[in-house]
Amino acid sequence: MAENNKIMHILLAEDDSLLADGLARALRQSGYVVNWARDGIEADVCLAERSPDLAILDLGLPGMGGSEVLRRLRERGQQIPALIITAREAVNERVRLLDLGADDYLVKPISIDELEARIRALIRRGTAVSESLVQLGRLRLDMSGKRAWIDSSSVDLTAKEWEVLEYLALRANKIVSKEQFMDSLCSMDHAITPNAVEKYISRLRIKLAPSGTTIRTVRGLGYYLEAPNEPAKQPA
Amino acid sequence: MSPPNSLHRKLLRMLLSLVLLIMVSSAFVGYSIAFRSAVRAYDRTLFDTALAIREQVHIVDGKQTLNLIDEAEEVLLTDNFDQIFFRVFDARGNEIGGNRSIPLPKEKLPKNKGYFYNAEIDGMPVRVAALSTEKAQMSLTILSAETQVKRDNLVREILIGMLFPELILLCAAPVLIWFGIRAGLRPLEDLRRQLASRSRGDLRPIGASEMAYEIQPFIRQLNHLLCQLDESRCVQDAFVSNAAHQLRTPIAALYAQFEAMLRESENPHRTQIAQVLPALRRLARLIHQLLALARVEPADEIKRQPTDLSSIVRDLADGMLSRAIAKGIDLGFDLEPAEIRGSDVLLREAISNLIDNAICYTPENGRITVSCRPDSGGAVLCVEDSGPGIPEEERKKVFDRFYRLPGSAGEGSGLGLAIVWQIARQHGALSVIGESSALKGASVSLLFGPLEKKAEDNA
Repeated sequence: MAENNKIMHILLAEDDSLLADGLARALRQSGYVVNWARDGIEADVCLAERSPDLAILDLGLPGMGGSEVLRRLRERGQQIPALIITAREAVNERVRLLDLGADDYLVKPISIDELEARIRALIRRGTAVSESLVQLGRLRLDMSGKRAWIDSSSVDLTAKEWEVLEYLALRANKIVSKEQFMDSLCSMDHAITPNAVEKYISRLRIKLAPSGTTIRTVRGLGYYLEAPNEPAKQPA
Repeated sequence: MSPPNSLHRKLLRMLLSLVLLIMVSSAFVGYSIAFRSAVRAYDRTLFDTALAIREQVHIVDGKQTLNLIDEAEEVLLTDNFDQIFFRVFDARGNEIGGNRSIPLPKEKLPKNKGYFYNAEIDGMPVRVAALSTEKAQMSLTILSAETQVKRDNLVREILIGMLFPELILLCAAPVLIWFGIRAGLRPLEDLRRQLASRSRGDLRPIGASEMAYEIQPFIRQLNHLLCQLDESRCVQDAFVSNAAHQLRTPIAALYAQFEAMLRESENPHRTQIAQVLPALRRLARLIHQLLALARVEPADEIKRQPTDLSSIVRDLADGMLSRAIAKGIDLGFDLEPAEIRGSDVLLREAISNLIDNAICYTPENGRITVSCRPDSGGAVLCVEDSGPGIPEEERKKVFDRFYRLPGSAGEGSGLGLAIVWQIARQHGALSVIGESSALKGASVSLLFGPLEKKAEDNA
């Protein structure tokens, strides 16, 4: 993703050329640089030498299986986020891959929107700590400076509102349970009531409205920050 | 009572009739042997009487005469039970003494040997011993007869003495035989019980070594069959798994190609591609569902582990929420921890099908609520919606494969609820369709029974 105007490099290891071509074309249009590896050995070499920002690995790769590539990647101590795509789904498979160090898991057929959402989430997770800027559609957050912008105009936020937004933004497009949310806000500061959380959220909703980013209440579960699925722009 | 073709009944019938035949014939043979030897003993006594009378025949004046002194007559002709008669006559038929009413023998008598026959005196049945002999070179025939009281008594005694035990035996035989057959057929019953206690999908061979010798060939054949079944199940599992892989990859490729083309703003066929994509999505979903059904369908031993319905729903919630949001549906949850024993993968499949189904049939801006809670030892999972609901008369049919409500729109394949039903059944859960009181649409509930006991976990 092209946040921070930095070009993201993705390694796509997939032996089916039609699928790889389709995914690569779609991802390139979204501004990613995609390297395509046809087999496991090529993928392994590419990961070791070029260290891309993210790896998409098919499990059924010729030469060296996706899980072996993943194992070697982690053995080398590389922290590159890895997203596995597979045609098989089984819960023990999932557990095994997550144990091996996969960060996410998608079963074919894959919708590009879904794939990009997962990629964005992985990159956000990987860069939020090191890089201080997070882009959610038109909303941009400066994590170290605790400031937010919609396009180029800054958003006026109180310290509490920022905390709430930061917590949700780091978990965009995921349901955040009320309990989790309250726990983390409490530990940061003194006690906070559910009503207070509601209040901050409704204020945030008004302030974020122009950005297209919405905070939804999920009945019975918690909150959900929905970042629009806008493709990242190619840096000018 | 066992059916007519039961082995038990057949054996009982055959053994009983054989035993009956043996008992009747042994009784008959025993009776006749006992009767004949008793009769022979009585006959000898009667013949002795005839011999004793011969001693009393003397030749007086060249004529045979019988002179019985009273004492001799008393000894010879007295008996506790029977009346004894005698008749003596010479070769020319001249009566020498005794009772003339004793009938003559019908055959020529052998010399100096006893000859016995039955006759009647004044309507009384009698036994006659005849002796043809000579005394002082003159032929002489002596008949001694007695009534049959003694003999009848003897017959009665023999009959009672023999038949009574036989009768008791006759009554006892069916019971004894019945028990015997039961004990004999116990290995079959054991085998039946062993087979009945197997869980669905347990295709391990049956242990033949401890079985009765006669059953072993059957068990070997059965094991052979089980083995073949197991093999074909493995082949099918492998097929489903391979089919999944082989079908998914090209569809994924098509999908990726079309989506990429759709994003290329200069592509002149964007409108057509936009129309193709939903069909492709449906195809992908249909294949996924068919494979899911195939995976659920074999009598798979599902691996049951303690699992919490609410955490499965929480896991699914992210993906479901984005689908609901896309249709403007308010998807809400009401989850309490609800532990059951089951397979995570299958339950995920079932619940996601339920929620998918609700999203599919609930109009835009509708509401869906997914809830779960513990219930009387088990658990309930319920998906309610504000959609049009399912009419009472359709509620049974919607679990059928490929069945869709008449006139229903949307992308449904009619397989979703069939998958739900199958998975629920594998978990011993009931699938119930009703009307949502809160949302006024349909409600589909899965009712899971109480947690099973620990002992069954290890089975």
